[in-house]
Amino acid sequence: MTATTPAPSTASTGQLRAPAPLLAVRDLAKHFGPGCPECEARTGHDAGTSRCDRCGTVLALEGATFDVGPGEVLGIVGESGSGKTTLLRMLHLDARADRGSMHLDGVGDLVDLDESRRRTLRLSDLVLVHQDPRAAGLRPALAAGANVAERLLSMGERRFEPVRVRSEQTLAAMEVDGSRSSDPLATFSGGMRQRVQLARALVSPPRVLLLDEPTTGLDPSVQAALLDVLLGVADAMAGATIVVSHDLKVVRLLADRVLVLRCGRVVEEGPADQILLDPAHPYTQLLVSSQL
Amino acid sequence: MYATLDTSPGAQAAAAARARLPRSGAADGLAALLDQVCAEAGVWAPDAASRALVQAHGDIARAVTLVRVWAATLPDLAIETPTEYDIQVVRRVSAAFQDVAGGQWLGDAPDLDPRLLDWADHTPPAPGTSPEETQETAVPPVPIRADVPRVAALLESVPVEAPPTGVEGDDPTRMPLVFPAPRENVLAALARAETGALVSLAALALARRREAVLTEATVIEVHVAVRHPRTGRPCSVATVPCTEAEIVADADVGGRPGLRVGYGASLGRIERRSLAAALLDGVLREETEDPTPIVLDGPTVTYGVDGQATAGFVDHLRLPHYASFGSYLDQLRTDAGVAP
Amino acid sequence: MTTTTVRSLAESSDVEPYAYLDETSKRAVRRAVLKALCIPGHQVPFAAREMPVARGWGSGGLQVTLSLVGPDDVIKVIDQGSDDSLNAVQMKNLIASTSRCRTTTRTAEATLIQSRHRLPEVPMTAEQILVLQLPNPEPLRRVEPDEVTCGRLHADRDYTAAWLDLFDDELRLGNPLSGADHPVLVEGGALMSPSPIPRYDVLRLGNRPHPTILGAGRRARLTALPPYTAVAPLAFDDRPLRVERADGPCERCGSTTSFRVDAAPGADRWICTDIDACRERTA
Repeated sequence: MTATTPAPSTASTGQLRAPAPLLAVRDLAKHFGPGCPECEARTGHDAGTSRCDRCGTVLALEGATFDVGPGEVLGIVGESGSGKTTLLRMLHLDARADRGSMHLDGVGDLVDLDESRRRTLRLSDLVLVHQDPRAAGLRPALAAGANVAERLLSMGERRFEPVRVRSEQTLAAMEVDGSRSSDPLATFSGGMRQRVQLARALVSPPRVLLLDEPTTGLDPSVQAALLDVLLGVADAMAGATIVVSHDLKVVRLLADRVLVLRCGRVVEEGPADQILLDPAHPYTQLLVSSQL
Repeated sequence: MYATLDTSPGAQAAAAARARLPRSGAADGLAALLDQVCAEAGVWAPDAASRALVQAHGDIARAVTLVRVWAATLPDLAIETPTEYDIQVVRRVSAAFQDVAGGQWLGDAPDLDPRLLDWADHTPPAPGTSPEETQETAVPPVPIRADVPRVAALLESVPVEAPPTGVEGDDPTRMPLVFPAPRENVLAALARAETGALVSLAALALARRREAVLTEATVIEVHVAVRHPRTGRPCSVATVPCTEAEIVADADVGGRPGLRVGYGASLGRIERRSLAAALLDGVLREETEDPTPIVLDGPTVTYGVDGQATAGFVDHLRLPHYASFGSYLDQLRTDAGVAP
Repeated sequence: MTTTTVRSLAESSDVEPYAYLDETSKRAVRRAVLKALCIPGHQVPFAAREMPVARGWGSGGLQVTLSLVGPDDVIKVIDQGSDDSLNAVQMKNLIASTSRCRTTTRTAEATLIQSRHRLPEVPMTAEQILVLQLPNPEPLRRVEPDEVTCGRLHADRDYTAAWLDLFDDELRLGNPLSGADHPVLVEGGALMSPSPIPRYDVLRLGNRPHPTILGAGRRARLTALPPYTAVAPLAFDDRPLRVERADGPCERCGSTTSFRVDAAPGADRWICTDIDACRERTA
């Protein structure tokens, strides 16, 4: 990671400038409803709800601002209804923001792009690993190795052998035995399918890897093994990794920085060990004490 | 070469055999309609079918009910199970290969019927004067089933799924169909199925296959015999026309791509019934980890109810497929490691 | 309106149509053909008419032929290479009797050839037209059952699903299992079904001196290839499409380069399927 992180530049004043973040999110918001002048005041952590009781608008996400740098792992934690799913969907360009910007280094603001451009970006720049492998658009009838190869083929690779080799290498990195590469995905268990999904995301490492509840729903022993793999993945990623989870143990293990969401707002943000060991915000304290 | 026209001995024999079949009742010239009613009723009784059609004012579904209800009141006689020696093959075609052991002959093909509506008046010949009835010259004997091997059994060098061991099926008029059901009971249900439904489902199934080829379609005449109550000797009591079809479709055979043989049969001579049944038999025996359901959306439903499209599609399996099947066999062989 | 009036109205416009189809229908088919020639490989819908040939039996190809044929044409109709197939004979008779054109079994003599599932092996010239019977025009049907989605994928030229299917076959089986309907890329752009012709013919579909029109009656769509169009089978650069292998020369003409099939299951008796070409070789 450090090898590919651009070196800090020195401005004419001689001060060190931090490298530009890979992804810069500013004041991102998504609302469902007509909206009114009092929405913002009537929702959020203090109000204890994301729904404005005056006009019924749900402020699923409001005022989200954060950066993610290359090689960094950002954990986004929150309970259901916190807005983390909405945020993830916007990061994956599946939903359009109502306000704010998402600046991807080298591409520009992602918020207003047309569907065709979004589709291209989802191939190479912003890749999502779904919580449920069945929702991931994997093809159970095809071989595992073929599923992994999909993005390479989407991106125009037209030679079989290099794709096959790369697909097998990536599966091996996810600790899936090479002999299973030509088995139909339908013969894989849930935990194994997650690894195939991961491999599919990493066969051509994306600039931003999005992990949605990567271990939720799996057996504890399977979770542990997958977490091991994820650690390796996070370490090796040159790009940014964003892990969305309600499970603080996962976030503690993987993340460098953490964002805590409640009722659509970011209530706390900072280095992972600091936030999880010594949370400042009362909500985070509650979360940490109940889980860790 | 596929299907020369009516000069073959088989065709002449077929015409003669057709002339010998009983004709009576008002719906006489509508032989295929009588066949359909008999096939759907599961009872070969063209006289009864004719009467039923008249009584039902032409409503096929009601006529079928009339025939079934009537047949249920009749006493059962034990028959001698027909053997391959009791079956004569009056028409045999294969779309898979140009030559098949036992030969191919067009016979009385439905494809010979013109498809343009003819408005001319045709007076039916007076009984006793039609050419077939007055023909005195001997016609060549029609081959028996025992001499005509099943084509699918002859496929070599490609993996073909072994058919499941047969059991004696239940009488569908006496035993309800309970799942899991043996294949024979399902085939019996398909044999008595409503024609349009059979064809529609088969067309939907056919559309999803990589490859499906008719290895053999036959029109046969089964001589049914009953033992004489006193002498104990089997006496021929009826000659029942039936159609059979064998269709091979792509299948996973022991982890390798191969072929599965589907079989279908029906009373009467409406060939697409047995073609459809053979396709469905193949589909029903398929076991996949993750079956893709057929979703009843707009395009699927409107296609399924398009009788012209579905019947045409199922029937087209009778057209020669030698070149395309040869191409598919080549790929199967390559994979099976037979090719150097 | 009385029956007499209706009858006289019908009679006054009752002109025996040339080549079976009325002029309006023929015009619609020709327009579709021209459009298809302008966008090679793209499926162009047309209003299919009821044909005295069952759907799935060549009604699409027949409508194209009937719309293009004239009294000076010489037509040849073949089925998997054979002029004698019952269905081919019936279609040829219909075309000839309604258009008063001549017929032939010799490829070299024909001006218009309608074929089911084979390309004639005798080389064709710029003065001829080839019409292919196309059962299913959608090359993506196996990987994407929804028609509407297929349309979007074609619009975006997003053929990942087809490449993925091919990759899967190559990975698991070592070769594609497309049989005789291997999809092709036209001018490096549109993915097209070439109709169920053997791979031997798929490699001969491109760069022809004459136009090739593929008609699907059941689905009511046409595709077309103008002369000298680049057509390449969907294949990885390092896994080119392999032609069918025959284990012996043709029994009749001795050719080792024609497309041959085994005459009977397991018989190892190889025969040409293009009867005219085979006959030319023995002559």
